[in-house]
Amino acid sequence: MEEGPSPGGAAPAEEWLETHGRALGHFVAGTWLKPPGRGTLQCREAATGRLLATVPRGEETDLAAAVEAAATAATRWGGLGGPRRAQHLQRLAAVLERGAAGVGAVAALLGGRPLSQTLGSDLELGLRLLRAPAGWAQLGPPGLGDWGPLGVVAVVTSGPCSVAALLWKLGALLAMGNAAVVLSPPEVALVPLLVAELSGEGGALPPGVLNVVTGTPGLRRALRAHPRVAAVTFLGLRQEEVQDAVWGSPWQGPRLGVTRGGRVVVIVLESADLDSAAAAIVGSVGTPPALFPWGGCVVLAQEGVATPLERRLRDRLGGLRVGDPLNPGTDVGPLPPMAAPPEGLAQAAREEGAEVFQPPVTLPPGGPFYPPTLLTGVAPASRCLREPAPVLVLLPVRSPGEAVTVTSGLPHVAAGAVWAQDVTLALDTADRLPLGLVWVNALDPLDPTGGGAGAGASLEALREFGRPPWDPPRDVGNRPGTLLELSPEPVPGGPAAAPDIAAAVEAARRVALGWGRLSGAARARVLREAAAALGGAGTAGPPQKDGGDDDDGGDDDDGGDDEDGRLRGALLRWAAHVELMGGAVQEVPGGRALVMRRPLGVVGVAWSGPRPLRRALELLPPALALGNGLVVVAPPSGVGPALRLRQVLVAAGLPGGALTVLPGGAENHGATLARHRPDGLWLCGGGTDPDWASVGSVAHVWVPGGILGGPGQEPPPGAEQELELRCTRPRCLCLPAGGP
Amino acid sequence: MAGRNPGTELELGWISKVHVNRPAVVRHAEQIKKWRTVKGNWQAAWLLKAVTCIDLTTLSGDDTPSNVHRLCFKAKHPIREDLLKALDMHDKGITVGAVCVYPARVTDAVNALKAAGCNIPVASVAAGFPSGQTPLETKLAEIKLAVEYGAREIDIVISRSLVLTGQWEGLYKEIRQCREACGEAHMKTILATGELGSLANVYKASMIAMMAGKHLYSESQPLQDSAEAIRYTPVSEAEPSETRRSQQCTGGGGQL
Repeated sequence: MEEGPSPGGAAPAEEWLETHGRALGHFVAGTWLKPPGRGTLQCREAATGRLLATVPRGEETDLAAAVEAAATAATRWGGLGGPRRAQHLQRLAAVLERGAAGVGAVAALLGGRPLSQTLGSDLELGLRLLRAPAGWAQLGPPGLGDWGPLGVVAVVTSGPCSVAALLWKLGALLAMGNAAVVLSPPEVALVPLLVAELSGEGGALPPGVLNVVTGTPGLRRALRAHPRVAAVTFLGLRQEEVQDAVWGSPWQGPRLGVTRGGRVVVIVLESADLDSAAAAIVGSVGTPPALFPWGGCVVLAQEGVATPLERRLRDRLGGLRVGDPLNPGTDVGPLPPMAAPPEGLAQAAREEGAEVFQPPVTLPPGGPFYPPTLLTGVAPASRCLREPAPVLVLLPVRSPGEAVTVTSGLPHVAAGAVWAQDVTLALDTADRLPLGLVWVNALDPLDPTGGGAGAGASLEALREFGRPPWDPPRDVGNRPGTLLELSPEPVPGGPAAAPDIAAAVEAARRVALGWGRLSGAARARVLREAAAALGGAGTAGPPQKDGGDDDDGGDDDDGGDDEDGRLRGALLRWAAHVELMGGAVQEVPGGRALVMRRPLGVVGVAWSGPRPLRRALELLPPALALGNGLVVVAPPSGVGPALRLRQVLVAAGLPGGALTVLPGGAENHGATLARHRPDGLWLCGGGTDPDWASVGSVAHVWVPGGILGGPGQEPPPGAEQELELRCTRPRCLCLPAGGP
Repeated sequence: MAGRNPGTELELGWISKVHVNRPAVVRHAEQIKKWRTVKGNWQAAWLLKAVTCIDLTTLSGDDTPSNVHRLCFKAKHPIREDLLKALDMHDKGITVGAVCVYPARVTDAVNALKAAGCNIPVASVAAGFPSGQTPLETKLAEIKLAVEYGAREIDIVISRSLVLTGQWEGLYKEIRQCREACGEAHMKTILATGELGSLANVYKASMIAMMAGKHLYSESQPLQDSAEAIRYTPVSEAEPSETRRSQQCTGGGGQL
């Protein structure tokens, strides 16, 4: 017996397009902007290629108008205050909910995601991600009380960008008081345009707060001419595309936020519920997750269960329904626009001897449909493991340990899942995975925060779009160095250190894992002993060039005593911090999430440079206390104190490779450090910092700026929290519970 | 009627590797409920199909020949004539799948159906239904008597205590013996999932039942109040596909 068709949901979208005569414009300053004489770009339906509407081909003047409108609106919007902004955002969420049918239909038409997803989980997730920052804005986010907005934020979208992803970014940036300019190519444009139009209804957002400009991807380059754009965030771009769209430097340019998408790795151990695991995996393969749009899934199954799991996967893949995304019964829609069909990948795998299973589903004629694919028996170096693609790859592993090792070696992994009914084993394996988000016995790839816009994750999102009080606003031409303590004069040149950096990073990587795994108490003990040694010893180290010892009065402005005293204080404070630091348990719909902080790994500190940050040495205790390995490239004035600090730490028990100090002379070695791919990069060199293009490959780039306070001052309030966040990365372990 | 399941030898290895993750199953069931719907004519068709799979049942202490009689008439004409005419299905012989009563009422049901002139089988519950807490001898005797009285299907209920104490061999033997006592009649096994304690137990019990040779199984929980409208039993790999289809059809019947 058949199930028959379900009533399609395209009507609301088609109606909306008709009211605009299928020719839309930009949305700037609360109204439609249709500048005359522009070329048009076509928006096509993903499944059939039918022309849906046209949008203008934006040019620099359009972008300039949008940035202008956003800047004007931003001053007023930022000054409204948190609670008023929260009201506006809640109104926006309510309007979107009322217009959900239209938004879901447009997203399904354009992006090819099945309606059951766009209208169901995507929209639900998006609204949650919009309401959570609104809630924080209402309450005043803890610790961010005196943070201000950045100003104008540009959101560059590309590729398969879903409603949830868009609202994720918009919610956070609007709640912090910024105004947004969304740049989208025609394949994606209709969704932000509809959201922007809806935001004007009922005064949900004041005009100019949300602007949308459509154009070709080349329009991104026009952003360079706008220094007023204080931050740029990218949605749906691949890493390579991001590199040629960024400009400026971390020091002087806009802040960059990149969503690093990727695949989900699923580890199935022997005691897993194979049926549920197979159901969940196949459920995700049909539809790439909303926030990790490139899709794909690598399944690592323990050998004993690999064959039964494969059998179940094949059965369930055969049951997927591929078809028109607007049919609520469809499981798999067409490939998203701007995505390459994985046929080449499957072919390459076949040639290498892998087995390619594609269930005999009938694809609708025409349109970029691709059958769901399962690859088994792939070679370890196969392309399908290196590149994310919407296919399922199954690899057998011998033990949970091997699964962790394989996962660590896979590139482009966004999240993971561990299936095992043996709870201790499941939690332990999940703990050892080097991923920020791990589900246990679930695979709910729709939510990067694990089952709900958890409090911690939305706070981090707010931080991304806020300006801390110690970081003054960056006007054009004003270098953010006025509050910093830079060296009074540029220092003379010194020896280069390039080859040593590689070795140092290697050594740090080897050692950092073990150092990070030690308990907080063990690390605290090391720091305390070092602090005692610093205080007790008088002339512990070799004579310094510029005399930073305790004995003499000190030629430095702040005196050797103070420096040692401050270091000692920092060591003791951070020892206490790390002992008391704990994670948090958050109740989220569907279960609970353990939110913990884990060390970044290896952090490169580029301290040398023409005008190095004075007190950068005080950045080292928090980083070490929180379990990172450090490679410090120090200026001539800093090498001595840094080496002395290292000496006391190593004497107290720090593993040798965990802190390496290299002389860096007067050049800024930020770019060199970045080349060796540390997990974090701190630029304390001042002046000619490397630009985004050379350091963009590092995940966590930070310019400490004034966080340590001005000359002779205490660090500003909130600094310790910021340091803690900067030295660690979030780890969210999601434990679903429930069912009656 | 579908072919008979001969059953297999007891393979405890199949049971030992069973793991069921309850929250994942619940989530999956909710997804199915939400997004697989049938509308319009198809909905009507599926509902009619469901009617033909129903065992119309009365299992009350106050059953007498008269209400069993009424039940059998309803079994022959479960849907009102004018509704069927509107659907153009009045001549397709839409009846329920069987009539299910206690063994003491089997004779009445058989006679009533004969008088009504229809061939619907009579199913009898047996094996100490509903609690199953009676000695094996009386369970087998009950089955044999019900078959003698004319029941063509026997719905046995398993001993939950055997499941809860993990006596899988005992369960296998018991179901096997009931199967033999049924003779030619078809046997359905009621697992009473509400009392089995966990989904893993449900899975294992159904595996044992299939190994022992059940033909169809029913998950009804007699007199139990279940919070879920639909119980989703994980489908095992060994299950013959016809059993899977029958499983989807058999449900609790309507009480008269």
